[in-house]
Amino acid sequence: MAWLRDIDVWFADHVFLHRDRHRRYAASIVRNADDAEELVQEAYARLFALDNWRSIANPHAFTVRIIRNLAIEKARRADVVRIGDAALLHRAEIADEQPTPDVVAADRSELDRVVSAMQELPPRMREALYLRRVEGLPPPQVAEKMNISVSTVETHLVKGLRLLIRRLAGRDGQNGAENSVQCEATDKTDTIRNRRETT
Amino acid sequence: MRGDGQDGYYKESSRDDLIDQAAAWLVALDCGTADETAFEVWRNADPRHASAFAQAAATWRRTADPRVPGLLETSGQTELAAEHAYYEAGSRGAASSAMSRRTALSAGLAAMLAAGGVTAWLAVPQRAYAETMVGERRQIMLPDGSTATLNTNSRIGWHFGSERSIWLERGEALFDVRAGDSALRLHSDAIGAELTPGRFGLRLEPDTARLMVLAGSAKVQSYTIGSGHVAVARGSGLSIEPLDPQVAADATAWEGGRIVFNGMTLGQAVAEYNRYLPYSIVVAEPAIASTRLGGEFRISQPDDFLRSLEDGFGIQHRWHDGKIQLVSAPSPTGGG
Repeated sequence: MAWLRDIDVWFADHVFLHRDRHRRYAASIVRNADDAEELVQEAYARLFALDNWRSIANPHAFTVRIIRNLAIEKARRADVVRIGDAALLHRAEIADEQPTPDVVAADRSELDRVVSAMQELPPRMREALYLRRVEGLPPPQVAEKMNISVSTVETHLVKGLRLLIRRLAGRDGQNGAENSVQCEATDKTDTIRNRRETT
Repeated sequence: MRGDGQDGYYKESSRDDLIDQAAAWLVALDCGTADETAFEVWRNADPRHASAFAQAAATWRRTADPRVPGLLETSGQTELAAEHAYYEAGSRGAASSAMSRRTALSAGLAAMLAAGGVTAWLAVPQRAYAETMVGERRQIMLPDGSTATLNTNSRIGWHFGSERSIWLERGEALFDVRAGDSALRLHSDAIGAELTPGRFGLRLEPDTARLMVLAGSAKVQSYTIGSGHVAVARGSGLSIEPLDPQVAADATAWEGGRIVFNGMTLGQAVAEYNRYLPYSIVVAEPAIASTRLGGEFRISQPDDFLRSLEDGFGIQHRWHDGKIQLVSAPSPTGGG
């Protein structure tokens, strides 16, 4: 598995684990869930452009800071920066740079979501994924058990993984992780919306 | 509208494209059908590609978390046909094939990077399985000479490579653990432990899990639990309690085919007996459910239990709707 890099492991264990918090933080700054996800994805991509990622002491806080800086950059590109926006960025940062609470618990609720997403997969995709990932069978044995070709196994796995990723990202059947924060931020986001409409 | 063209790059459709590409690369690499050079070119072309790939890998890795089988099992949605096939694979001497693979679950990033790479990170150790039907009892000899005794309607998986791991997916089992090069890891949905050589009992119920330490010691989270104690996981809470030797003996009597009621209520006793029966006994009258009883019965002889209820407490039974209903006998003086 030479194709898996150290940064992939680092990212999964120290950044992606806190994905929900990143999305909530982003959603507290921008107008809607889609813009928030955009911001998070852009921040993640920045991490992969770094050479010195190993020396980041607190990857979660670092990522939050990138999200915040990206949001500020975007705000500066807009015609008007309102005091309200800056205040919001400041408040949100303080709220979210507190030490990560209970990693084990976060881990478990994430796992619950993975499992329920796995269960919602169409049966053949689920079976292929189960045999390959839970039972650990090599692809030819999965193919034999399912009585299909190895390339069909691969197709089921690709489609299953795509569905899992989208469902976990709330891209399919919205799991609504952002909702609670959006209400709270409504008055502030209005100013952003107004600004956008005038540009 | 400044900047909109650039922003558009991250919009929904292209994010979905990135997810699709990353998933396809990951599976192709996993199945050994990818052109690794072409993959490197794709990944290096854009940090967004590298990021999408790492996100796909993180999700892919989750699907092989040691707790997944237990979670799939308890939610009761596992395909029955598929389930059957897994069982067959497990019972056909899969232990030997499980030992032939030296992949291991790695415990943490530091340990893994220290070990010189990330090779094991996405790997799934191939597992062997064994299970019992309702009313069945079975002893399994594990690859290192340790044994697992499965009570009724239970299922375990195991993998003995550079680490020794056992999963209790449902039901109850007793483990006699032998010394080995490493601690034995016992996994279940509700509780996980590192076991020293010794004797341990783990029972899973819908809302609780009880790990009895009968000999040796178990490490659960940061607690070390010595012999004569039981760890009870309820929801997210964990309590460690002393274990009365008599209670321990009663709780493991099933190993010898016996079931012991020691002052528990009829309701509890019936629930306990029902674990072993293909049909169920129901207490049809709430008034008798709180009757406390004691006694020892052969698990395979429920008739003796029913007869004792009648002789000792005047509780009668009748078949109704595929179940055995327990009712109080009409008062002997009532009829005149």
